[in-house]
Amino acid sequence: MIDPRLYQRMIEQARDYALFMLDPEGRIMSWNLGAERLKGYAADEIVGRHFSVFYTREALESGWPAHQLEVATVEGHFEDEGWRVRKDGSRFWANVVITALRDDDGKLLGFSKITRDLTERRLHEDALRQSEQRFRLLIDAVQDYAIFMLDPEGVVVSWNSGAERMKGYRRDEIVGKHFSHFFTEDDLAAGKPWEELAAARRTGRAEMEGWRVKKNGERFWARVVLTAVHDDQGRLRGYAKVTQDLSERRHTQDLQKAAKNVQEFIAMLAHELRNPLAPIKMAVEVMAKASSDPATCEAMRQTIDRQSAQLARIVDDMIDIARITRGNLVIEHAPVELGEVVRRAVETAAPAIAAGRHALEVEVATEGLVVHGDRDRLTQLLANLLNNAARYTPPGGRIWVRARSEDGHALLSVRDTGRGIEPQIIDRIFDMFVQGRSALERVGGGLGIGLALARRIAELHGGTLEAKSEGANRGSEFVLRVPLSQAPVRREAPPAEQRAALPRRILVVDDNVDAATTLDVLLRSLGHETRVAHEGMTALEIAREFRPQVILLDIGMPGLDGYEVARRLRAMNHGRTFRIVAITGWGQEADRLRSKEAGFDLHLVKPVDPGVLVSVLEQRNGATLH
Amino acid sequence: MAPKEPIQLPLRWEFTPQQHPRTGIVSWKWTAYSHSGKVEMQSKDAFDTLTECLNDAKQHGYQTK
Repeated sequence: MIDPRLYQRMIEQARDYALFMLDPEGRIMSWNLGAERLKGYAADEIVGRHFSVFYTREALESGWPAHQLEVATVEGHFEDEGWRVRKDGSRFWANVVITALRDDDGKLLGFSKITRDLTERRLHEDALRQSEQRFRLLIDAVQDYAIFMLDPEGVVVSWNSGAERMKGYRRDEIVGKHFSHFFTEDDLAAGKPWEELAAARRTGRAEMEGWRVKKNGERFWARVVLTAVHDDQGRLRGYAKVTQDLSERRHTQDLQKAAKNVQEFIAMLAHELRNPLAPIKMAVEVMAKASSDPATCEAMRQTIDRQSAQLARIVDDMIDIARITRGNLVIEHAPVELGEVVRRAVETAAPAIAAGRHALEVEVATEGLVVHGDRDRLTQLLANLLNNAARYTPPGGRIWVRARSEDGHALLSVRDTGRGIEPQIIDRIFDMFVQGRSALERVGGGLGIGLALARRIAELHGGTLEAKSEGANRGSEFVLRVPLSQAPVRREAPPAEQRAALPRRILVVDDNVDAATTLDVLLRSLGHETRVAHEGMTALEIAREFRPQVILLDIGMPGLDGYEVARRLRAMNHGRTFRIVAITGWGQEADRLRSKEAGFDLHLVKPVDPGVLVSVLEQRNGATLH
Repeated sequence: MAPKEPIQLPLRWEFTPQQHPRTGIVSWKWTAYSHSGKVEMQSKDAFDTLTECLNDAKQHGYQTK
C-alpha cells in the first residue's frame, strides 16, 4: 500500500493542474503548486477564501459558482469550460472538474477541484474559427467566380454567392444535388461529369473549358478548375470547384473569327471576280485585233461565254450567302426523282471532273428514289459535292456517286480518293467560308459556301448531310439522307413549239453604256427595231416619239430611277399597251415587289440569259412574272 | 460492245479518262456493269470530253427509265 504522504506530495507538487479542495460552502481548504502557478496566489493568500474569486464578473452576476456546487452536490460531479481570473486580473481559459467528496455515510465533506489551463488551445481554436469565417466571407463575397465544394461522389456541399449569380440556383436549391446538373445533355451522355471527377482524383487537379447550363436552361461558356481535397491521412474528402463564365470572351473571339472570315472572304471574292474578268478582257482585245478571223472570234466568244457564266455563278453564290445569312433560303416542294438529280449534277460538274481527269462511277438504284423537294436545289447540292470532290482530289483520282434507299430514306453519297479532311476541322467544314486550308492553298477557287449551302438545302428537305474521312489524303465521303416520298413525279411538259420571232419596237434604258449597247446589238441581231437611252428623262422623250412595244428598263440610274421612269411611262400611257421589263442587278423579293408596284410587268435579274430575253419578247400578251 | 441480253438494272456506270501515250490527249470512255460486276456494255468510241461521253451513255440507257 502506498504511503498517503506520497499521495499528498504528488498533489502538492503537480505543476500543470490546479488541484485543491473546497469545503461544502466553497471555501478553499488546500492549494498545490499547479494552482499557484496557474492562478498566481500563494497558499497563504488564498486558503480560506471562497473559490468564486476565480470567476469573471459576468459569471458571478449569473450565480455560476454556486450553481456549479449545487450540480456537483446533487450529481456528484460537474465539468465546465470557461474564462477564469488570475490574481493579477488576467484571464485564462480553464477546464474545471468539481467532484463532491462524501464520507462513508454520504455526508458531504467538501469538493475537489481540478483546473487545467486551456488558453493556448482556446486561442488556437479562436484563430482557426476566425480564419474560417474570414475565408467563408471572402469566398461568399466573390461574385465573378462560382466557388463551391463537392463531396467525393460529386454532390454539391457548399455554394457561394458567385455560384448563385452565375448558375441561378439558390444555396438551398442545389446543395445536396449532383453537380452533373450543370452539364449539357450531350456532355452527360458522354459521361463528362464523371470523367472530370476521375481526372481530378487521378492528377489532383482538372482544368477544362466547355458549355455549362444555368438553372433557366441557358448555356454559358465556362472555364472550370476542379481540385481534389484530401485529409491528413490522404483520404479523398471531396473537390473544390471554381467556375468562371467566359461567355463574353468567347463571344468576342467568335466575332473576331467571323470578322477574319469576312475579310478573307472579301479578299477571295476579289480574286474570284478577277479570274473570269481577265480572260474576258483579253478576249475582247483579241477580237478587236482579229475581227476578220471568224474562227478566232468564235473561240473568243466562247471564252467570254464561259467566263461570264462563271461570273454569274459567283453572283448567284453571293445571293445564296445573303439568303442563308438571313435565314430566308426557301425551296420548292414537289416530287423529285433522285436519278434525274444525279444526272443533272454530274453534267454540271463534268467540266471540273474532266479537268482533273478523274474516273467517275455512277450507281443509282432503279427502284423509285423519289423525294419531296426542290429539284434544282438538290442538283445544286450534289453538284457542289461533286465539284468539291473534283477540286480536292489530285489529278487522276476516282469519284463515286451512289443513290439508294434505306429505311424509308434516300441515301445519296459522293466519295473520292482526294486529300480528305483533317479530323480537327471535320465539324467546321459546313461553316460558311471554310475551305479547310488557308487561302494560299485553296484549290480551284470558289467562295467557300458550297457545303454550308448544301447542308442548309439538306435540312430544308428534312434531311441531313454528313461528312466522313479517315484523315488527310485518305479521301472523303459526303452522305445526304432525305426522306423518301410516295408521290409520283410530275414530268415536265415538252418545250412549246418554237415560234418565229416577231420584230418589235424596243426601248433600252440603262445608264451603263456598255450594257445598253450590247443589249441593243443583240436585239437588232434578232430583227427588232431599237432605241437606246442612258437616263430617265431622255427615255421618256424617246418613248413619246418612238412608241415602243417593250421597254427594257434599268432600275438603278442617276436622276430619275427606273421606278420613277416606269410610273411616268404608265402615267403617259394614252390607251397604248406596252410592256415594261426591269433588267436590274437587284433581285430580292422586296425589289420585285417594288418594281411591280411601280408598273413593271416583268422583273429580270442581270445577267439576263439571252434565251430568256428572246422568250419574253415573243410573248404577245402582257403576262407578268414577278 | 452491244448488250448480249436484256440489261439487268441497276447498272453501275463508269466514265474513265484515257491519256494517249504519245500525244497526251485525254479521251473518255464509258462502261456499264451489272451489280455482280459483269461488264454489260461499253462505249464503242472514245470521246474528247466527258460531256460527250455522258451524252453517248445516255443513248444506251444511262440514267433513263
